[in-house]
Amino acid sequence: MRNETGMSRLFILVDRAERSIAVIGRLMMYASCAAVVGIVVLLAGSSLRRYVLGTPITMTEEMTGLLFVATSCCCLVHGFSQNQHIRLILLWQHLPPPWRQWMEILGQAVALATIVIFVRETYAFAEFSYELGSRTDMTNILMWPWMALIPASLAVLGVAIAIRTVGNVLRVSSGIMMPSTAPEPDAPPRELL
Amino acid sequence: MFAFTIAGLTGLTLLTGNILGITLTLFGFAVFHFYLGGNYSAVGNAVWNLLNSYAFTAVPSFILLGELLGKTGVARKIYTSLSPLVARLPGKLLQTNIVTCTVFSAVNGSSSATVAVVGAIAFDELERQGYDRRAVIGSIAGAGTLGILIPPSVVLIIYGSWQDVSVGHLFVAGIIPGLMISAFFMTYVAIAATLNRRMVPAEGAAVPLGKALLMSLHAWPFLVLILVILGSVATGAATPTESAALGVVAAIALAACYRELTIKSLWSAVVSTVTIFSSLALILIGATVLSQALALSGMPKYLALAVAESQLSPVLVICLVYLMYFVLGCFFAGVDMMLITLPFVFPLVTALGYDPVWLGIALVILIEIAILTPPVGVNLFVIMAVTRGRVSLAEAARAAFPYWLLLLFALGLITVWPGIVTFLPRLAF
Repeated sequence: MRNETGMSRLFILVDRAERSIAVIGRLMMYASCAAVVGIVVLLAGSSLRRYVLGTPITMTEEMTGLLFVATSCCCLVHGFSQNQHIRLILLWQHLPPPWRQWMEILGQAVALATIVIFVRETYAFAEFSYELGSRTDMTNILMWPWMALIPASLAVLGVAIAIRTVGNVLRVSSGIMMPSTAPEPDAPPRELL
Repeated sequence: MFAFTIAGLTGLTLLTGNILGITLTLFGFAVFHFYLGGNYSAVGNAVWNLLNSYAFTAVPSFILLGELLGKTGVARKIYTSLSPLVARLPGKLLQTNIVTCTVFSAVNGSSSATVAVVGAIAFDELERQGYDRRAVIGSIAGAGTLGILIPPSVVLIIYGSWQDVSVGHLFVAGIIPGLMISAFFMTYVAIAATLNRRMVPAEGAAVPLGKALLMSLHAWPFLVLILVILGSVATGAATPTESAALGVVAAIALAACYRELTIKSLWSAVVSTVTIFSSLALILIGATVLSQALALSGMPKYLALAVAESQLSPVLVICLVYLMYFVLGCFFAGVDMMLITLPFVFPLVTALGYDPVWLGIALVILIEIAILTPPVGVNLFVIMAVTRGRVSLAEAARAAFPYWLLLLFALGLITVWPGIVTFLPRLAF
């Protein structure tokens, strides 16, 4: 009885964590959307000003580069929550369903380990920039907060993967099917471009 | 030990169905570990240089442009404007499908968006009018591939920005092959429709030429859009990155002119852009880590040297590269295939003396072939989705097969006569 209660509490906890990370992913996605709009406004405004008013915006290249960092980093978690990331399912999809579930969990653990190394290395890079106090050439903007977006977004992605892994282990060990995270056999591949 | 680890990681990756972007990073880390003594310090710098790139900012902008044109219903205008004129050719509205895909490709950098937009406009109507279903889906899936060849092309931006090849040169280089392939498709449809009378419905009088010409003038705003995007790049008035943003602004203005612009459609286009871009961003990051690791290890250089010492003729090497892409095309959806292989293929092929601009166009045609190749041909699945499952994958693949062959023929032509690709950029720049 106590075990059952403990399990159901764990399920509730994981469910809440999954919902919370999805909300965080969505908020980050909005930031990514804002960055895309910022890129378009800045680029179009800059080229129009150059030709119409003859006064180019000198910071365009630097600012759009920084906004592209924000666009790329802030969309990663939402992509994971929405199962948008392309997966190599060629062999995996032909495994028997129980095997498929455990192998997916193993894959998530491997992904988590990879992300831990990735966060460590990109954090070290951002930390070095922080120590140097490096700034952009034209606009004198501090670079480390933008650099820190890379390990920060990867860390949130890692947390999202960890929560999903824990949730999946709980579900599979309780005999519950994992929610579908990849296309079933014969389902269409993700549209990339 | 390294080979053993890579084999083990490949097996693990395939059996666990892992995320491609993370897998590429993992392989990069393996190279860092074994070839660079576990010194990962270049990872942060490589990823930063990729993401803090001015040239790459064109990628989300061009995705947004395609999404805007699709979601605001502007693309439908061009179809209805061009139909009366183009439908006078043998093959009637099948020709309109190809011409619309060609024109839409000139304002949009994605092939799946081209197929989705033109398919949604044309499929039901053509089927209702009695056109052969296979001919309809073949023409849309086949001509939709032009989305990534005729500039602007998201694939060419990624290739150019990643390998330091001028995106402007690549854009201009894509024009002649794109129009050539479009002409091949139109010729095929004309011949097929003449030989097989059941392909096209017989009834229905053609709109008089004068009226058809007048109606086609309604497509003028698209001409403006093409001029804004391609004209600005070709004349050097704007960089490809700026032209993408100007194209977005022009598309919004166009949608407003047509009274098709709503806040909802605008927001939906931005969200779709970010969602599509999220899958691409992680692959780009992973491919950069792998690429950096390979470059530092010197492996691509050794490979190029080994090929040079083996006395293989450049043509044979190119054919082997093509063969590799045909096989990979059966398993990968498109641009991911390019990102995985480019760290090896680019140094190898350019060391043989091939022009990097030519290689970019050849790779795009190979990707076009891949997106028509089952079992993961993206365009086949998009057309299946457009027809709401009324067409099976096998049927879509059979329908697209003549176009697949024509793309192969075009690849052969540009291999034998690289000038088809390099002539225009040399003239323009």
